[in-house]
Amino acid sequence: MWKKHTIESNIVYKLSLGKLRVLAKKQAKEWLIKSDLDDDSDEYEFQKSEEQLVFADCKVFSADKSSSLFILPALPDKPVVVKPEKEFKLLPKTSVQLLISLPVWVQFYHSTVKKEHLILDTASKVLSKTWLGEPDSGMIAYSLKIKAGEVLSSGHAIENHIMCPVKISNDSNTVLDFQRFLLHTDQLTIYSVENKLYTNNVHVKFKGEGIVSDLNFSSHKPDALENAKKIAEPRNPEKRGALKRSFFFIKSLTQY
Amino acid sequence: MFSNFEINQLLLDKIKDIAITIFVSYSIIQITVLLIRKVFFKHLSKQSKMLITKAIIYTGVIVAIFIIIDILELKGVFKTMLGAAGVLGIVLGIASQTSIGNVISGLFLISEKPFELGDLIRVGDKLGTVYSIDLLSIKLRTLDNLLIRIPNQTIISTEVTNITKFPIRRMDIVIGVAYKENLKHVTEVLKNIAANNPDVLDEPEPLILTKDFNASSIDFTFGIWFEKDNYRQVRNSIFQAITETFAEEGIEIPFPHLSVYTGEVTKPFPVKTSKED
Repeated sequence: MWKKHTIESNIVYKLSLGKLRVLAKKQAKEWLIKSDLDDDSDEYEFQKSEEQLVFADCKVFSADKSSSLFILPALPDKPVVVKPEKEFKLLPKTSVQLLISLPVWVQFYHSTVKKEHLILDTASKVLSKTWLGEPDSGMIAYSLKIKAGEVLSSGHAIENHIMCPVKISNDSNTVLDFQRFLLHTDQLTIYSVENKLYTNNVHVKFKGEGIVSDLNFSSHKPDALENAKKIAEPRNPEKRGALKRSFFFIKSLTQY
Repeated sequence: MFSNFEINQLLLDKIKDIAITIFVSYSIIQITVLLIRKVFFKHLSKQSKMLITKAIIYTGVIVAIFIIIDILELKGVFKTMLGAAGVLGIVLGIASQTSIGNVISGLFLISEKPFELGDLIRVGDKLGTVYSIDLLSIKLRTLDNLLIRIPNQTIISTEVTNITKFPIRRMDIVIGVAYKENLKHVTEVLKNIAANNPDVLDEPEPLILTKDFNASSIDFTFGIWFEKDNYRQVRNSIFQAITETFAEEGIEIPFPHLSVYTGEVTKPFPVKTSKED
């Protein structure tokens, strides 16, 4: 699915990715695209379809004569706040390896993979939103709950999700009360192996409360995935090395 | 003494000089504004851009006026007039007290910045977006597209609520449920309603508070946080979700009702019927 496809004109193609359904059709110099989420759907395919596309329901994009359509995975378009279902504590000088499963975003590019040729950028699953920071300043992010203690060693992956290996090290002399962690998904690369999707490694070093943590993204695929191929670039590759704090300790003061 | 021809010639020269001054001043002001916009305006707010543009224009106009006064050789006349205008000056000062007050209030507003262009504000019972901030007044564009002019002095001396100052807001909804309802169940249902709405923020956490024992219902305050631009969407979707979910869960939102007792709670209410012959 994640490759270049040659599309025949005036034929509807359907992409099913979990609950996400996308119908696409090329006619003359236009692309018609319709996407929605269907709770009853749970497939994983891209093929011709007998379904009809109603013009009024579609988004229309003008394009050139090329019949090439690139379908690529992408990471969420906002940072993701990861919260363990139950708070856990990381002792000083210890680390934990997490495997965070992020819902895949689907991108369609016509002709070539260039920003100006992007005709679809949609989520395969709706993530709830959250606010990171104080109510008078901060940033909007997606919210994701994970099971504490998920580890990479089992190497499992979930369809329609991108697995992100995150190592959290507590380099301080105090116990790290892990409440939530901000994952900058716009700086991660996506790799594919056996139709499973992974990102590069993320390593967060906690140095103590009040001190900016170190946040590093590895520049290559995870070590455990030798045969993985790079399939998508980061959304925002220029901002390497996040300067913002990744850990957020201060609870909102607006409990009343 | 000048002849008629020479007077006409002098007059024509002065008119020509004034015309050139006006043209050159106008051009310089426009070019300056254009250059400032291109070079400095990229990272400034709408309000700052407007203030800088107006400052350049007013300065340019005042300089042009002084040049024209100089061309017309009216300096001496003005000095004489000013000297003799003591009483007139006092009268003018008293008459323009309100205007001067508005100008000074405007300067305080600029320095304090309680709002900017485009902010949605409430002044008294007036609600609108800030359309312009001028020397004597601010102008609001109401939600039904009317223009309201509010003097700066009124703004300074009145409570102003800036609704869109911060990136997120909380919407508080008061919901009354019947006295027979299980309050824990109602709280859980409200939590799920908030969690299932993609535009309601997970954090700050929604506020669910048992507010009051009212005459006909137990009231809850249901406060949900959202991005300020999504107000209408969130309001409509949450009200719909509350109505539908309460109906599914069998939670009653009671109408106001009154129970009448004749004296003892346990005795039935006496009703007498009579038959007309």
